[in-house]
Amino acid sequence: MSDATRANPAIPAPPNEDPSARVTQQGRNLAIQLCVLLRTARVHDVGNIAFQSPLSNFIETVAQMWTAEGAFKLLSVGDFLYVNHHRLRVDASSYPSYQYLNDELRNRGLGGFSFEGRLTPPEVKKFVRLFLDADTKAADPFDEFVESLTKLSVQRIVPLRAVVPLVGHVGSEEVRDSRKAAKRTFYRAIESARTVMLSARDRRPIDIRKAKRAVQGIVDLILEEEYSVLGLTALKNHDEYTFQHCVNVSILAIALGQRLGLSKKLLGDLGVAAILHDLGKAAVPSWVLNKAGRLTNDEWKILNDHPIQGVKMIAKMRGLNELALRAMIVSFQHHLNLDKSGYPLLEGCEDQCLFSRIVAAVDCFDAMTAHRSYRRSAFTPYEALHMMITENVDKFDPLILKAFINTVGMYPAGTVVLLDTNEIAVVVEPSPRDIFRPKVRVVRDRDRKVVEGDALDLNDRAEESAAYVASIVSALNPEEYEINVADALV
Amino acid sequence: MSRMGAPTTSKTAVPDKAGGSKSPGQKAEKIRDQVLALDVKRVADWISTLVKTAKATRLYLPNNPQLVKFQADLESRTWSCLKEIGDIPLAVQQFDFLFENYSVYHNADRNDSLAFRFYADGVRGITIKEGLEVGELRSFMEVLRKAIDGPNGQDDVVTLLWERDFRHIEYAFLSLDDLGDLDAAATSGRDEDEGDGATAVETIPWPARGEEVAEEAEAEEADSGGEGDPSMAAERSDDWSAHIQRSRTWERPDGVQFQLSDHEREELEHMIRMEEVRPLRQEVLDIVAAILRYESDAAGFKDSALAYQRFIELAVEEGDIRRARELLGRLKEIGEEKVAAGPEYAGIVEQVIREIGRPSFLGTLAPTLNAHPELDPEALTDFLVQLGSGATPAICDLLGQVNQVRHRRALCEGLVISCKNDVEPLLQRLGDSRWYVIRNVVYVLGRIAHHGVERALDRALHHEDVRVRKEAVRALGNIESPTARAYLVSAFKDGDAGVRIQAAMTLAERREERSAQSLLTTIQAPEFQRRDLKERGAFYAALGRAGSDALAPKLEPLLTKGGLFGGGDDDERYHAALALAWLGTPKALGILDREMKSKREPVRQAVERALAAVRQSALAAKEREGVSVLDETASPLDTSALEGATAIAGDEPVVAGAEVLEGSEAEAPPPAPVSARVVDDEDPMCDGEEAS
Repeated sequence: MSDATRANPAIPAPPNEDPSARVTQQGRNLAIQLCVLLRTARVHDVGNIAFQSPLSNFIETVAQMWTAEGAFKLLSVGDFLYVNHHRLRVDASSYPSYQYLNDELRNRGLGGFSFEGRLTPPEVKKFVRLFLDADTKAADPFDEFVESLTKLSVQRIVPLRAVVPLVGHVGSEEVRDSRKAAKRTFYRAIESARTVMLSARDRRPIDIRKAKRAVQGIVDLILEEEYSVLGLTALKNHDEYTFQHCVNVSILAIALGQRLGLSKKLLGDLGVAAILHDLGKAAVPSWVLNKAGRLTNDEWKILNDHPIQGVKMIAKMRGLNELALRAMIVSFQHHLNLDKSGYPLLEGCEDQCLFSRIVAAVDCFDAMTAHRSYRRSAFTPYEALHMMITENVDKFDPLILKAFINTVGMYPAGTVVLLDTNEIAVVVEPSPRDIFRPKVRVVRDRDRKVVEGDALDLNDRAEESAAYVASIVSALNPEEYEINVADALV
Repeated sequence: MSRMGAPTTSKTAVPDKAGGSKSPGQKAEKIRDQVLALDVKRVADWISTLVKTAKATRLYLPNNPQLVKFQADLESRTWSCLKEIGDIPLAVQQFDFLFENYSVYHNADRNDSLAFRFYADGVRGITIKEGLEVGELRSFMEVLRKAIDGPNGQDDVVTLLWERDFRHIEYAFLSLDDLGDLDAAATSGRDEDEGDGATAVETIPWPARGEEVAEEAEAEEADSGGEGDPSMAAERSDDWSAHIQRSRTWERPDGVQFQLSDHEREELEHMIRMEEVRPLRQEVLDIVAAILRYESDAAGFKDSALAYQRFIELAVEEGDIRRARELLGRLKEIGEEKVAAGPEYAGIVEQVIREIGRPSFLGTLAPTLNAHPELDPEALTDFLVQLGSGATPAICDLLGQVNQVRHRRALCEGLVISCKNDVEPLLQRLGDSRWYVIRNVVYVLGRIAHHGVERALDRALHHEDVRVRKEAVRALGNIESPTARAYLVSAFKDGDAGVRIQAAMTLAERREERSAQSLLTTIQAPEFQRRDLKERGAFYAALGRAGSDALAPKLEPLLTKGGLFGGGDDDERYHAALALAWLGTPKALGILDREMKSKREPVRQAVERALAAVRQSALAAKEREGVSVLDETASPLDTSALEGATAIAGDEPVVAGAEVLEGSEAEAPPPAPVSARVVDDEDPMCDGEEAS
């Protein structure tokens, strides 16, 4: 498979570690600005004053990139965008723009653009108008688009034809669509978590509606057994840890809740309560949160206060409905621990409700698998699970733990595993059928060369022998093999 | 759920009928058009009923006959529509619902339009499917009702639909990202251009990457000059140190232990059932109360107290006054417990209580009270008393808005108790522009009977509204002071006969010589004779009740005036007899006994009439009190039945503290949808003063 990809020069080489942060950063800006340009032009005429600012920004960015790189390309391959050979990394705020561009390009049979010089406003306006007016239902929209650009002498933005994906290079359309939906939902949820947390930090009224909508998307995915969203929880973005952690806890809680048999309404409530479980940390000073070393007693007290702070913040939300009440309870109880060894221990309030037990378990799991300032490295999901069911078992409800393992599998998403085919793979999705046989993506072949494999379901059997196509031999430390788990998950 | 494409162009007219058809195809086309026209109309009518019913659910109580009728009509139309048409797919445009590209609903008022509400929240299509169940229709009505409430509701339309998990209603909607596209297009370019700078400002700081911290840890170790403390990693409560060896794989049997047994599944199901019926509110209240007790600094306590306040306010908004009372009591207890920690805690509790008692909030109680006559008035009174005299302005406002008698009574009781030692907040309301508010305040002042308010009541005695003046008279009657008496006497000159009579009867209750003297002086004044019979009778009756034996000789000549051949005034004779009868002293009865046998018929008749009148009054009083009727065979002079009887004064009883609310025992008017109406004891409708 890797040979096939290399044979086609149109497809960039597998992503390397980003050698030029400047290029990828500028590429990110370019992609986002192009997205803004197109979206603005859908609403306002290109002559409208509202169009001028995005237009200027775009031209300026292209000029900077031209100065630095000379002619360059913006490419769309599969679900990703590239500038020349550099893949643009996806994050919560850029994902919607990238997705939009990919879709728009795909609809027009485009694989991207080559920028051949500094652009002028009239040229860009023509380009945008022609782009939006392109007939996406034509037999060959690409040819028509190129012809229209030529007629109007748009020469410095050169369209590139889409690369026809090789068989097996990307998954089937259906799988791709559902994964896309999962990613879209995931990033949307992070954005909504960000909004909520920042509102709380700034003492602005918290509007929970966006978070609810995001959670509904997650619940729908889980109910449709689209478990790839679980795999996304293994992504750990340090810049957005706070928000992503809330979303990860929400996703894991919903998945666990679904396994337990909660109704759709309760799953929605659980998901929102999980997103809000650490809301109180918005009131904890950053110097306490950031502190790498030992906390003093006073600092402990401040940190341990966050469950109570969360209760107060949620109480300020408009309407004290059932959802808000559940969220307050979860915020208060999620660090209590089943053996009452946690905090805050106030008289008469020492028990954990079901939601709190669920959130407590998944919160622990996600926190352990994240980089922390006071730990040299994160636990792998496999290690975290192992820790929870051996050393910390008294802290959690045993039934919930059991159900959690049945939800995430014995090798949770993000675990790097050795297969009995001697390949190395990353677990991308649990399997509801067998907790030992998740879906994996091969990332190193037998010779330990980098590959970009399709998702492989370890429940599948070979046609002739009916034996499993592969089985997991053991979990591995990704750092020993220099494997970036995120690349396999996104 | 799917995304809709670009909105289609709507047609507002019903499809035109085709012209004369020629071929089977054209005929079919014509028939299709006609069928379509019928369907469009059907759907339009159905939507109209839907919207009307949704609005009605906001206006009427659930069991209101009008609402029940709307609902029945809606259900009937819905089943009929679904039967005739099948699934009803509607496209949602900004101000329209479209069916088969025809507008079946149009409302361009953003504050009122259901289509706009749906559209603004991202809904682009909705399909009502055959098989729709009654419960689903009602649940859908609930969604519409909340949607009509507007964007200030807690949930957008998509969430409202999602939570209900309809089986027979499908909807298509835009994601929030796409919905915000129009705004984002204008601003996001600028925002995103700021790049990581803006992102960095916005993120909540979190621990740095592992490798960065590794350097810091090494530096720290170097500074400390010793080995790093291996337990440092374990100093965070949510941290775990990897100090055990773990195998890198699971044995198959390991997985078995994680399979849920049947018993465990049952246990989980039980946990879920418990979770569904959890008393969430009580649980959260317990948590908040525990937090309140736990707080060790005033700022934290205040935050928690504000959270607690929300629950009290919620109870009030829901009309659960008992609960509100209980919560308020609990808050006060906690405040008292914290007194030892400092006076600021009690101050915070007081502040919360003041906030709850503010007019802008407490006023929201009026519609609830009007809509729920069954609410416990005692709980209401207790709750209001707990709010203290600071809530007086709010309660006075409520008096003007509440139309249930028992609730107004409860409000007045609350004021009586709260303002017992501080009438100033009440006095300030005597200048209110609404006469009914003043009257109620006067009533309360009368109940308090606080010495020193006579002057304020005198102002009320000169109010332009006779109902206020009457109430002022009653109130003055409760105050035992010469000043009050003097003001009552001044009311004898009021321009309204009813007020004058009321004053006379009130003064008579004092049963003192000076009162009698004042009454006699009035009666003897020349202009008194110009007053009507009823009033004169009332004054004489009052005189009789107030006077003593010394009065009898003065009344006798009036009774016996004239001779065998006429002379004297029959009315005056009767009134004198009436006074003597009410006087009831041995001397007075002696006179009546003698004159009952008088040879002069007018005199005899006067006495008989007077005695009959007094008896009648006594009977009526006893019946009102539920006491058995007087013995008809008793002597006309038997005055024992007069004990506790009330004199008749016009149409109004003069029992001390007679309530301003009398006469309003009549049915309260139907609850107004938005504003409450004041009910007066003489006018069923208030004087156009509807409270908002």
